[in-house]
Amino acid sequence: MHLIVNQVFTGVVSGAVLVLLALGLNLIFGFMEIINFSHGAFFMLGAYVGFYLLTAFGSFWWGLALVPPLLLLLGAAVERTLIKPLYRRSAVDPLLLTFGLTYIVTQLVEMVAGKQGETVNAPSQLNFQLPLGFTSYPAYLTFVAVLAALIVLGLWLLLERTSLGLIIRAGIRDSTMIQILGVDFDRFRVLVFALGIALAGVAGVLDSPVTGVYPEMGNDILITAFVVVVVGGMGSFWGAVLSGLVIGVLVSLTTLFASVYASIVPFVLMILVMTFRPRGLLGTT
Amino acid sequence: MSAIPGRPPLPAERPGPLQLLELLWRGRAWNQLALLLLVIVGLFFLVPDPSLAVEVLIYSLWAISLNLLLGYGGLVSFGHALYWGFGGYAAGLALLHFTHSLWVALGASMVLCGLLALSSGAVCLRRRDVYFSMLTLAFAQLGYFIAFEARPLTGGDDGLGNIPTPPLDLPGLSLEMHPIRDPLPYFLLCAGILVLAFAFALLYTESPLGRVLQAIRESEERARGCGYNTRLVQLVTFTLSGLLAGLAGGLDAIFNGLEGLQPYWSLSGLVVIMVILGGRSTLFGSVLGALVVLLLEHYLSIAFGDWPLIVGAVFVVCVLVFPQGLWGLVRLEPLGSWGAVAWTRRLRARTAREPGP
Repeated sequence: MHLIVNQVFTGVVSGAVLVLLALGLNLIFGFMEIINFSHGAFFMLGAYVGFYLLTAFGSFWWGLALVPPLLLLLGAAVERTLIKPLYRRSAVDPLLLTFGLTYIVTQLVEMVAGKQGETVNAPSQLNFQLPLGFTSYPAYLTFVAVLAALIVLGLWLLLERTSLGLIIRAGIRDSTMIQILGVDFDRFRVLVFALGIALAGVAGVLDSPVTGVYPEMGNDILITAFVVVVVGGMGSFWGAVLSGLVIGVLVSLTTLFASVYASIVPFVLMILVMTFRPRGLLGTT
Repeated sequence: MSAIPGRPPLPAERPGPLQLLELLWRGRAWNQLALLLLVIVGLFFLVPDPSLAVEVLIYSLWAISLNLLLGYGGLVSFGHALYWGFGGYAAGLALLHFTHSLWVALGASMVLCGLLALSSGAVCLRRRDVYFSMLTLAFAQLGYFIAFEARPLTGGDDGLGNIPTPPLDLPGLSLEMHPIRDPLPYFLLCAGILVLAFAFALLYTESPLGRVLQAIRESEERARGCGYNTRLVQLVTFTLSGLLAGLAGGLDAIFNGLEGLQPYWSLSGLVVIMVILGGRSTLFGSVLGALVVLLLEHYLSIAFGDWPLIVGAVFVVCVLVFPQGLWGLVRLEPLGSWGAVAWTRRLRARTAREPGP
């Protein structure tokens, strides 16, 4: 029983990382109508930047504090230089471009940091077991789940309660209309893209003590994040949250009972959802 | 990428097989086939490493199969390695356990890949555009995990080794093949298969079905409005594409005597790069892309270990600056744009002369 509860917690934590990635993908897709194939690469880059800040300053918190602003800037720069020229082209071109970008970023990191990867220590303040009545759980993982929940809540408040969120939601619904109404759409594209990249970076930093850092980490998780987005329903905020947690827990439980099938579970779930409910769990169209 | 100047107009009635052959004989399609033969002859005489030449042929076949989907259908499949790998396993397992005939093994990889593409395509094509890309990617990853876990059958991450090389049986001729010692028969085999597959793909893209496919790429709603079953057309293309990819994978597995397990990343991505870099508007572009990427890999990897970086950078520049790829560059810059201008001028002069309705 303790094992099962522990596995469910572990699933929630890995699901929380997936949720952060999927929300960024969803936001970028909804607002800009492009799929950011390089999302996994920025996840990996965030983890590596966090790791280097950790070795430079000797504290995990520096990485967690500095990665979001750094990746926000990087995301804005990428959007301005590489994505902007493609706005009038077909939807396929940004997909291909971000795919090429992944190739480049992964290769660069491999050149600089080497292929084999590093382990990252969880911050010493959180290096203990949190007692939970009948069982105990690593404090760092609890911290990841809580922080991810706070970020999701903050993002939801940003989207639902601020004028910026109002514009983003309006842009997701009808981008032509808000341009007619005089909103400088171009500026918000940079902002949304950078926000999505920053979310991916935070997810990378949070995940790094769990899985370590290695250049391929983004490629592995990106596909699962895609599955989360498709299962939850493209563009659906709570759909991404729900399916991220469901997939995290399912994978975690399968690892306990039949570990051979664990890596297949998300895809089987996706095929089932695509067959019986193509719009996704909470998708609207 | 709508009307391409110089393309023969679509006949008013449904063309039969004979008219299609005539089209191949007279039209632009024929030029492409001639170019392909030129490339094959060039590979034969100019490429010093024979196994590189064979690889170019096999990857060309694979890139052509993807281009049917990506260029002509507008469906970006990021999981084409699934069919390549499945075809390789099918041919390898057939040769290891069931048969000594090359044709049976290749037939098995084609048929099984066709069936796999039919069933996975039916799911992937439930969604469009980027969803489709994600779904193909997920299927490829699923296939990767299954091949990884099914160690008794596939050898897991060690790959499926010791695939015997069957003799090349032709009517009235049986030729022993040793791909490593004497690659010539295998080169000729691959060249023959590539030419046949290329001609088939050309006919397919010029056929009414292929034209509908291109119409769907331009606007699916309008194609559906014209009464076409768009999903069926796309599914047929997906199946054919998977079948050809399986053939290429089978050829590659037999050539190497090994079907290695590689993550989707290094394979599906590579073939997408080939198609885009070569030019997605023509089938010959895919051959060009395979040629350029493999030559780059071959010569860069000697000088510079991180050659994928260069390939990636070239790819990004390609998408940004010349989306029609190398072939578009060759065709449009020196001749094509001038030709297009002249053609428009002629058209304008004609419409000016003709009296209005």
